[in-house]
Amino acid sequence: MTADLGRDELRTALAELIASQPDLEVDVKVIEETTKIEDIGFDSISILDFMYEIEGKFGIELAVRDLVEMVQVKDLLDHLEGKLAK
Amino acid sequence: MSEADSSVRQDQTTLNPVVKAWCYVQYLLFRALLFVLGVMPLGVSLGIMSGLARVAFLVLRTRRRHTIENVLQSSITDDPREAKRIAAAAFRTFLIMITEAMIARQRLSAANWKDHVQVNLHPEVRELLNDPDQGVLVATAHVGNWEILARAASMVKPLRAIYRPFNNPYFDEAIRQDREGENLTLIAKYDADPMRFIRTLTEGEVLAIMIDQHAGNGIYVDFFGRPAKTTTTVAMLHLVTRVPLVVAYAVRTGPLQYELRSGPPLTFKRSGNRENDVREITQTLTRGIEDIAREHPEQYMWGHRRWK
Repeated sequence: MTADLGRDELRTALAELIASQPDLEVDVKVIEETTKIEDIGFDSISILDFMYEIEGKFGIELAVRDLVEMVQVKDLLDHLEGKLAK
Repeated sequence: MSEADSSVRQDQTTLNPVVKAWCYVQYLLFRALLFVLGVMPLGVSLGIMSGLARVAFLVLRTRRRHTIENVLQSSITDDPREAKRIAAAAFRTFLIMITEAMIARQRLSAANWKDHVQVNLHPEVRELLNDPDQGVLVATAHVGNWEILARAASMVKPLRAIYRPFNNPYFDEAIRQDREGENLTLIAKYDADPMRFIRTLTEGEVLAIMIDQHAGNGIYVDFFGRPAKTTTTVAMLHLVTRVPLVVAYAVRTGPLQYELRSGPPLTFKRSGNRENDVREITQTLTRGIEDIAREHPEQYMWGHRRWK
């Protein structure tokens, strides 16, 4: 993944990542930017896998302190956009 | 009320009446035991529990055999008589541990805990605990008194311990309320808030996890020369949050006397191979637990089914 991802591509990439989580039973089509992260269906363990894979997929280091403040998917996308723009 | 509380309350309402009544009887017995231990002199309580441990060791034959086998197969000793002695001591330690943990909840306070617990932590761990912004990930095990460990450590820095809720909802609620303290909170293993573990660490608190139970969805690592399925949660939390890891425990040194010990803080860098990283971290922590159990075999809980 490179820094030239647009918002739509970023959203698609994130949706693919969510869809690939083995323990998650969620239809990514129903996930919107306003969807709350806690409503996606992660538990305390699967969220760790997801966060780990975000870093690998986008080649960035997440600021975990920022992540815990995120409520919606939009917040996560904003965070990723900011990181990738640097 | 937390989400974990809500789930407990829901369980109470869905139990059938007979099971519900039996659960409530167990709960009342527990409350009565707490009361008795609270008023009884410490020496008397410990004497009764030591006697009970001897009886249990005689009566619970399958558990006794299993405990002795675990000691022998772990190469702590190759002498069956010595293994039997260690197993009997482990039975006693377990009941003493429960007793002193319950007594400690009533008698240990911020003012007097150092009269009961000598702190002998690695200097760098002390620094981490004294930094209010620094989260610490503690891996511990069924050795010494893990309840005292949590209670004493929470006097230094707020601590949240991950626990497996009891099947009896009344009992679970009572135990949880009793085990918790001013700076000590229990989090159910499958907490409804997915960010709860991570948030604990980013808020500069201690997150304590027992790593020596059979973990069905864990990975096999070597424990006393035998493969033991072990949780990977600690390793993943470390890789994601980069918060330092510490192996810590409270070893019993006398009646209601403990020493809080730890190894140095550990940090692991990502290699790019997640599976290897998780295995290396989990194996390192498990080796740390093995060293502690080897040093204090009478204080390790050999009776649980660690190797399946």
